[in-house]
Amino acid sequence: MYRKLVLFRGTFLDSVSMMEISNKLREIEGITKVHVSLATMTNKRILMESGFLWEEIDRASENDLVIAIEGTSEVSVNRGIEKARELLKKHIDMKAEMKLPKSLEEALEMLPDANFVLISVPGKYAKYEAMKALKSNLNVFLFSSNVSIEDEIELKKEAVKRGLLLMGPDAGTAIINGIVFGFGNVAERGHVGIVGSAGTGIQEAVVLLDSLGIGISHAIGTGSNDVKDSVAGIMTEFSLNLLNEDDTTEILLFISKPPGEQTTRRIIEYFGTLSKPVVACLLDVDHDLLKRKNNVTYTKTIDEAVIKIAQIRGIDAGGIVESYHKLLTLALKEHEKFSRNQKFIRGLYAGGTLAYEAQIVLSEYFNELYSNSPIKRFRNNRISGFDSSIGHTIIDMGSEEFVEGRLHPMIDFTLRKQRLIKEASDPETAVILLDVELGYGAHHDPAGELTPAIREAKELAEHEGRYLLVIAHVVGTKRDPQGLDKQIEKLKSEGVLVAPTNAMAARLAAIAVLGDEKPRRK
Amino acid sequence: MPNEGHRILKRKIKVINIGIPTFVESLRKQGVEVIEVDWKPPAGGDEELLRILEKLKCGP
Repeated sequence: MYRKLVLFRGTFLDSVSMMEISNKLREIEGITKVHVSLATMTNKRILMESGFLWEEIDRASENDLVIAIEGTSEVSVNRGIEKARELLKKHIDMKAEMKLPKSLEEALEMLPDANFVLISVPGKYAKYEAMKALKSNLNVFLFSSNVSIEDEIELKKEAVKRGLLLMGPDAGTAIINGIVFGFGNVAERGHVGIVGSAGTGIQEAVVLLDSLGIGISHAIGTGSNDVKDSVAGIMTEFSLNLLNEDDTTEILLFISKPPGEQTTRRIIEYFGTLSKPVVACLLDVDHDLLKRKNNVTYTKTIDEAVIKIAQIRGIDAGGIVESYHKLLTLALKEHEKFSRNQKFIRGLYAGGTLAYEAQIVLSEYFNELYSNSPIKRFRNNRISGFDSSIGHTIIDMGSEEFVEGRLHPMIDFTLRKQRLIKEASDPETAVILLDVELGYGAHHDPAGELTPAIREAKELAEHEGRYLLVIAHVVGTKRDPQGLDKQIEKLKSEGVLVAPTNAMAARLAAIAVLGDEKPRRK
Repeated sequence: MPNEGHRILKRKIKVINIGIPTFVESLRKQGVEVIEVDWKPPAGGDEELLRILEKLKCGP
């Protein structure tokens, strides 16, 4: 194999354009690997693991663009590098021709009545841009991750002082007035107002509600740190209050990633001050902490929260449970196909909240589980996302360690596909659990991206005398641009068992591995 | 609670996008008026200069 790496000093390219360039380079004959990325530590590590020389990689700083190509011959690698230079120049020239504003200030001159700023620049610049937006009295959707807690608190205090929304940092989704920000699904409009520190958790709730014909008024994503004790729910309280006052919102749904203990108490007290019914799914919270208030119902998983809302609104949610029961029989049958050593579940998640929720479900069945974002029970089993799996492993591939200077796995499937093959080659892997997100912001054909890797993984296992089961849940609505039915069909055609909810997917995985439907532990 | 946020739930949304251009496309598909900023790291990515800029532009 031949490898060549070229640095473009001080050249900034957004992550989508980087992916587009790498896709074009991959089409060149004889090219086997392409990396187009900013030289962050994560990307340097990936480059090194791909066989590029550390001496060359180490010369780059995170303000530099790296194009690294591997191919079967020197000629094809050189051809790739030439093409890369050409594509990069074309991109820069095209941007120059568009005569776009270069700053927020210039943009505001062109659109003086703008009321939102969507920020997705690298984390270290995010506070600067977000603070400028707030000082201009603009609401902010801050998609950027890797923003310090201190900066987050400062931004949120400024926002609340001005009566503005600051969603994020690391905000995955929001739906305001029917408009989707970031990653989000096209859903029915209605009367359920959602607040969440849980991007894919909000998406899961939106799509499950939509499948029951229940619409939402607004969905506000606060960013996952908001419920940590350091931030203490600044934006959570602000957003709950906003929806409590909003006349189209009739029921409040709150979903959070594992919150801090003090913040849990604070939020629970706050629920009691609201005049509307609240359904709350605080993932990984000790149920002793949850104080009963007349207007509040707590659930352990997101699907339970959705079923609860359906009950409140007098809507039958039996369909979800029914399809689960059909799959349960199938999962029990799948158990018989595993060989003796196939004992473990490997979850490769794009959605962080969904990775937590899966662990909560699996913890009912297993005493040991490893993760790069473990729930409390498994806090001593934290591994790096890049480590090999141990026993049952759930990896959040959308965590900060993966997305620094790279695209989110809902758009770029490269790392998830690589990991899928790696897990399939482990003789102890029985089940691979996946989440597949549709909607705005996500890849235009996620199932189409995953199915070749799923096929390869299953064939690899089969070749070595094993049977690999893949269970997925599709987070999508019928009106999403990718088409829910089409995406599910693609997965099913590769033998994937498609579960109606994320929690149910995890449950089916446990049942398939155990060959028994009863939880093993309390 | 009369504040900007409360009004925003009622107002027509108009957006300035700073960063990934895909979000511009998604918003335009939803009929939202969007202005895209051709963003580059401020202060050429120099962290010390960035902090000075922050104080100048975002100070109290």
